Amino acid sequence: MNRRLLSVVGEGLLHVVRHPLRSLLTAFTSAIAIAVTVNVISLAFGMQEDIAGDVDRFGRNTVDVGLPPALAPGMPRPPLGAAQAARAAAILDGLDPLIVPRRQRASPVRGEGQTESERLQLVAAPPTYLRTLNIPVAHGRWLRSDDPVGAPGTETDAVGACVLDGAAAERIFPQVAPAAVVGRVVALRVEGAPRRMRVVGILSDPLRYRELFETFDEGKGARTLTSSLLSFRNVYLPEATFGDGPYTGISIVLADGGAVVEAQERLIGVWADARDLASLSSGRLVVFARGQWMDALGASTMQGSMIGNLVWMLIVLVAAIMISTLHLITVRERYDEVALRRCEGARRSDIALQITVEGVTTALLGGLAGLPLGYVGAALLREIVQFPFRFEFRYALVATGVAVFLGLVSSVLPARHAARLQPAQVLSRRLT
Amino acid sequence: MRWIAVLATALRRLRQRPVRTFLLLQGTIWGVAVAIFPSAVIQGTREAARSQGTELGADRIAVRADTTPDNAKGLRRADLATVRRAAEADGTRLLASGALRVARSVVKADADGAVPLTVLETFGAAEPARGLSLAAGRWLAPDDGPGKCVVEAGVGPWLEDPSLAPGDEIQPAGWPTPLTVVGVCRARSAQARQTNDLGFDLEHPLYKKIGVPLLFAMGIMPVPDDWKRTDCCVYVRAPADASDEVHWIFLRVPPDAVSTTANRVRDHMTNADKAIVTQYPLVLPLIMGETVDRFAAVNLAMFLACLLMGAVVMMNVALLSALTRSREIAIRRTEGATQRDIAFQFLVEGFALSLVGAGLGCVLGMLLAHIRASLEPVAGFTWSFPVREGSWAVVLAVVIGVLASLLPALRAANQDPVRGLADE
Repeated sequence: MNRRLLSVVGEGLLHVVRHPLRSLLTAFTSAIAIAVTVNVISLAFGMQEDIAGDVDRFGRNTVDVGLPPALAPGMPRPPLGAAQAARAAAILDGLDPLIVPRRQRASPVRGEGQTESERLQLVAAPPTYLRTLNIPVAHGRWLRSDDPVGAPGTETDAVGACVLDGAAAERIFPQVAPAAVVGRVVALRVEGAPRRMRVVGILSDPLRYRELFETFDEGKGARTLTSSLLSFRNVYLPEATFGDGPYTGISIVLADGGAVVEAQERLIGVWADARDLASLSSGRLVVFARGQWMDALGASTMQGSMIGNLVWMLIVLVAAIMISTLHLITVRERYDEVALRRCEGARRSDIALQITVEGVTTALLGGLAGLPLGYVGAALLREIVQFPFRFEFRYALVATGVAVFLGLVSSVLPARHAARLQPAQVLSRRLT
Repeated sequence: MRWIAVLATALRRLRQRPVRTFLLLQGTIWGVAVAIFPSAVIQGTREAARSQGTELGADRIAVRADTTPDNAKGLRRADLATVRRAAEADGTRLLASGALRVARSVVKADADGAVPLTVLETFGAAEPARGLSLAAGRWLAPDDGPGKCVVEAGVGPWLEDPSLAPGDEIQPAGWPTPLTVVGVCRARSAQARQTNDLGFDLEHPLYKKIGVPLLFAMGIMPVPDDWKRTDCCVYVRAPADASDEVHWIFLRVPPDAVSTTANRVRDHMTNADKAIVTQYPLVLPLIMGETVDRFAAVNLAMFLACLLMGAVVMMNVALLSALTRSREIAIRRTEGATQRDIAFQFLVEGFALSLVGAGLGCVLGMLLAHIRASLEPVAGFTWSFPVREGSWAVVLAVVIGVLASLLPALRAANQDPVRGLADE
């Protein structure tokens, strides 16, 4: 049995070698299909994984309480201050919450020695603020409770302290290496008055695809102050910078996902739920779980890339159809050979196996050739569209799997066709 | 004459085996379709944005105060001048600008769920800045007193006076004085009425499913501004002694300048220590911009990949057919056909095949464009046939198809007729 199988496989392989041009052309078709597949995997799935990693750094276990983002004119502002923070602590009793208030303003920020100023978010918060996120400090250090807030004025020596988001540092000091920004001074406005702040640290940027994202981000102007916080282009200032007025928001850090769900349940018993869109303009404080927002973000990028992937998948499908057509036509031209082999004692299954072996072999060879082709293609595409591109061994493995699958699928019809041939009919027609 | 005969023979051969021909053409069909469908959507949407920009809101920026900072300040009358200055700072042509305050909404007492009638107090040219156009009469003039008004098209029917015309007097319930109508706006299309400031079609089935979560994920929250879509607004001049507060500032600028103008306005207002939110259609500026062309180039890669696969299959099949048709070729040669005739016949077959494929590809491309455009909950998303890209794709497909049949054609032509016949 084994020898029989071996001889059939050998016959199939022999056919591949015997018709080099034909095999080459078929292999070329599957090479292109595999090149496309490699691109699909490395562009779409690689990016998907990266984005999932990115959003995890925004603080999955943080729940935010803030003002409703769409207060209608004339509607009273719900109070948000120490009393509400204390209330949140009371509501979440037993869940061991870390409550971090913040005050936030938008301000033009200019690096000293630079000409252009940038509009950034200023966030004044206690040192515990870093724990609402999952981002490491890239250079320097995070804020301490004894950091100075500075004094108003452009010429004053009383310089405050600040930490910049990586992307903010890049904007304010475009020509300076991130590590060298630590120690520099930025000029900004606090309550309308100019103030100078010395950079003590730089956070690393959680958004890997910032450039790509910002290319398409036409919505930045429509974001409220609270939601633009998560674009991570902020300047972090000591807690006392904006005095002791009301808070812009309260972030609550919980131990784990279970505690987040429990905390959210308890909080929306008192305040509005951000998932309920009607409540966003209800005039009540809004509770917003970052983890859910991340999931929404993940789902919508997934939908987006699914639509994109569909086109690519279509091409792989078209390749399968074409290779199948090719095999089918080749088999038609080989009626005599098949009939003769049947006469020699080959069984239907042997014929089917032979055709399948041929199909898989050419597809596999083409697929292997397609891997570097895909690599080059994706690198070229990255040059054109600045698409993030990752090539990993496991993607190559999956693509090779696709190649084999492609060969297998496209051989089914031709193999069946060849196996069903009646040798007597074929040969008798030939002799007349 | 002979050429036509050869072409007819080639086409007849294609017709004799329609399924095989169709399978063969997959590469060309999909390649051409994939190449032209994004261009069709981009071009169609661009044309729509340029020709009906005002209707779609493609030239409009709506500004409101951001209420989330704890030092939030509402917009003031004086901010209109600041915003105008900021908008024009770059030499941008301001088509219209104005501010308004939502003064009062009147709901019909006898009808549940009916749209309310809204009275808006205006500063500047708020009505044209909102993208309205006049059916009769004139806009409010700066020296018009608070007794004059411009009404939207739905106001007449709302007041059960469908023939409402300039010169008539109306009295919205609860409004202190009667108002003399000086202008009546043209009715807006259903499309314009269901489109919000961000350019989304609120009635589109996918808006709630995809649009809202996506906006939420982007940190953009819905704003209670249903009055904009009622077509039932009454515009009056704000009385001189009225409050200084305004709720909305509207700007109209050329569609290509919307994004940059909105950014500039926001920066200016931030420098004036005022947090604002600017709203304009999110997708149209992207489509109008050049970035999207860069991304359409990705499709060129797919187009070429498909075309190459198609060419390989065509070449392969033609090679086989040169082999299996050696008898036919030999007979034709003995009948007097030259080597050139034989080669020509194969080339014409390749030409005809790829032309048919490209034609089918164009049809499929339009179908894909139609599906793609109807899936987008964005007002003004449509398609038109991209003549330039379409002709390029067809020409390229045909050239590659003919090139692919070159090798088989040479093989067939170089066959020895004696051997071809002796084989049997």
